[in-house]
Amino acid sequence: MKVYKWINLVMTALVAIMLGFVLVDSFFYKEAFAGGRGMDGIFGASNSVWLVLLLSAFTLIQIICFFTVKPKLSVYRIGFYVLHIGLVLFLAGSFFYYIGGDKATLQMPVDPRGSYNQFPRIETLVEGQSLREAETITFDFDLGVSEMQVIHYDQEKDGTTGVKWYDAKLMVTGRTESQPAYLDWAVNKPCRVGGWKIYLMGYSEETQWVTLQVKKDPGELLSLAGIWMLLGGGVMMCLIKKRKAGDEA
Amino acid sequence: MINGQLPVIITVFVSAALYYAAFGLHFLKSKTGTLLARVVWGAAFAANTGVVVCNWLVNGYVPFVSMYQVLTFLAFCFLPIFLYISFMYKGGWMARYFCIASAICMTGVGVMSAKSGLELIWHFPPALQSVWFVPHILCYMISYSLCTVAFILTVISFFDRNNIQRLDGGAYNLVCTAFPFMSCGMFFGAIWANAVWGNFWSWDVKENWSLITWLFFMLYLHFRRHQSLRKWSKLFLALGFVGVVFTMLFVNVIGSGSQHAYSS
Repeated sequence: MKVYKWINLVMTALVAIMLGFVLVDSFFYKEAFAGGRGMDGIFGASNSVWLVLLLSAFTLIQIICFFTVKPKLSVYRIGFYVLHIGLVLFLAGSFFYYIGGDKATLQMPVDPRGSYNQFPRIETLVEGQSLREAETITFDFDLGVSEMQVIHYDQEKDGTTGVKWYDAKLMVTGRTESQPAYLDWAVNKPCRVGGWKIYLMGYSEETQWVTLQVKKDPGELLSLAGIWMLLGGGVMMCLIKKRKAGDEA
Repeated sequence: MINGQLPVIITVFVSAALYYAAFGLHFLKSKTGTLLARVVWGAAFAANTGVVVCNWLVNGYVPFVSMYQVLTFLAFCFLPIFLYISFMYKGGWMARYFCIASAICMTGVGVMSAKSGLELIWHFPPALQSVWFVPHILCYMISYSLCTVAFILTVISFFDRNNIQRLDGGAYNLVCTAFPFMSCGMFFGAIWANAVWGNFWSWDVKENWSLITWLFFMLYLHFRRHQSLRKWSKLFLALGFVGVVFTMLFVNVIGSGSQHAYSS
């Protein structure tokens, strides 16, 4: 129980540090931390040493936590292991993204005749730089967009304005193919192409260009497995175990 | 004020008043008093349900987009959750605290509507049109309802020293029920974010506060289990509730440029 106590005190210290970051980030949003990008600047960047330290500390705590309880065959204890292993897997998935993942924000015009395999990375641009000065990303397939469809709310009929829905066809042409494949593409419905996930992020009706995000995440499945284990374990620990009002822990 | 707004605002205030009345009536010790309290609570809930259904019908989607819609739904959640808690943990004695929590939410809705006007119709942005939208918000609403009542019980335990064990135990049971829902809310949101933005986590201001809130309740549950740490557990429950308020209201109030600020 002594180890359990110290684990909790270390966790409290980590949460206190996080709270400090969150408070600064909240009140000085976009001005605090790495380059004015808030906490995304210190933790969100894939090369952030702070993120690795944070994930390492939490992972280590979870692993030590396994050894603070005696194995026992009960729903609660099985839930304990499932939850904590799930959390470790989720954090491990984040490590895999750190090691072998990549993400870029790109733009391209809606043009049924145009396909490209090299794009400037918008996220590397700083104020005052043009697209030509951005770092580039190259794929081993060509991408294009066609059949962009934008549906607006009707003020008279719907009582409100704004974009109701937009979707398009993503044209993908492999190196050995002569004709593109047309994939259904929408917000909330990314396409998977050659190990990349391609997200429709936005569309400008004025310029007729789409903004897309591409992401390669080797830890995605591990993270998803971790999430479901964590949730299942939590239900086993907290909901299945029936307590009476006033019961002690 | 466009057609339909005034009846809705009146219904909101009537519902709030009835919730307060039910809260007061629950202090009556007699059986008749309890029965009357339950009838009034039922009437308040019916009015509350009417507003939720109206929001749903007018907009054509589950009304979880604006702060007005979410708070109205939060107030609606307390009675069904109370029935579950009564059944599972014999928590019928908590009725008055569930009533006051609903009343506070409906008062918030009423004051906001009266002060800055009620917008019944909200557009439903493409990013929100996902299968994860309802589970994400619903889980959070259930957990926030439970955490609110747990916080009320904890505050009362400082004054009512005779019932401290019952109040503390009740708060613990509520947080135990809330925590899996809060975890589901947060991680369903992460899965959804991965589908729409390409990240499980963006360190967005609202996400950060929801994480801190989750961590506080996690510390509460861990501290409760250790004899020498237990005395500090209430602090984390209180901080967790502050986190709930910040997460729900903060982003919208300060207009922080959050990705989650669909309802300003």
